[in-house]
Amino acid sequence: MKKFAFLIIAIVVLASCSSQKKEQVAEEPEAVVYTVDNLYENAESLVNKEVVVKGTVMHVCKESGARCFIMGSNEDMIIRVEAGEDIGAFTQEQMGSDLEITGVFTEVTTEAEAHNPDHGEEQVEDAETEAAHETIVEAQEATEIVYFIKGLKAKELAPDPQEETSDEG
Amino acid sequence: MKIRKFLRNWHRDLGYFSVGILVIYCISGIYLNHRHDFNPDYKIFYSEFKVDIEAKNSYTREEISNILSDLEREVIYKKHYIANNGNIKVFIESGEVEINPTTGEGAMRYLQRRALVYEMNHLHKATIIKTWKWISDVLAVIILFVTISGLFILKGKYGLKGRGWWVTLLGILVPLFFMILYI
Repeated sequence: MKKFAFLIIAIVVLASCSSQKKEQVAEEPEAVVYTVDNLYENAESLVNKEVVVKGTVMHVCKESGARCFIMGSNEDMIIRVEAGEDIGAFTQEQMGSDLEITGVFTEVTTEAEAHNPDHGEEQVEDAETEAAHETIVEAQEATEIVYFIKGLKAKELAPDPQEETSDEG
Repeated sequence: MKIRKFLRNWHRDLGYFSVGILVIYCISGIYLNHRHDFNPDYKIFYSEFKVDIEAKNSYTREEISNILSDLEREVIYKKHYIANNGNIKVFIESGEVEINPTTGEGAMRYLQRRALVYEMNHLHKATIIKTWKWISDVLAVIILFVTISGLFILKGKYGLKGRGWWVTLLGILVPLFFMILYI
């Protein structure tokens, strides 16, 4: 019995060590950090490339946190980020936080990739969610080509103290 | 009957071992089943209020923080902006507030994690580190072994050759019925 317990503990420790090791290896030299606005300006040249983008989380998919929408200078500058297996899930608490996302900038080419929050599996339980969905759909409809990011890594940025004292809106 | 002894011993030990994960899967499974009835991860508190506010193009952090300080619930300001519909959208720790600057009417959505259930749901959905996916696969195989081995432990009229067979069949028929009828 002791052997059995020891074996299980050893497997769990080894598994968690190997994942930590992988995270350490993932440290990379600093890349160009785009804003959502910059990303759209350079969309053609960046498509299918790994990019780093930062923006404010304006909506997180409620049911699973499988995707979030980050915003640039205004509500018309929104991009969807799919958490995928690498990020796992976004949390509702991340709404309003600034995130730095590393991921593959991708053009929506199939119906499966075009996650439309109004027709998806996400339930609408309040006016705020409904309004966020409308904003996202309007922003998507305003563009000829819809892009999204296949997320690989997400880092929460500390609030910018300069921004806190300035006028916004 | 060495095989029956082997099955009994491993069924017992792995059965004890599976208790933790089975409790997690069962409890979170109930919450996730009802994801269309309520949010399985968060309790959501929704409230409406009215404030005195002057309609203008921009607001400072201090102005918005002052408005928030008058609310019933103590909240922490994160960020704000003017939305396309002209409303002030304010992100707070664990929620959001939207204020119509013309009417002064506002609404707040405040989220509170369901203690333990939130974590259980994430384990169930395997939305944490990749390693967990493989660990939960191993645990699933162990649970499968415990289930299958359980069929062959008892002998006699209560074993698989007697009552056991009929009860097992009944348990299979329930999901099978819904599978055939609705999928």
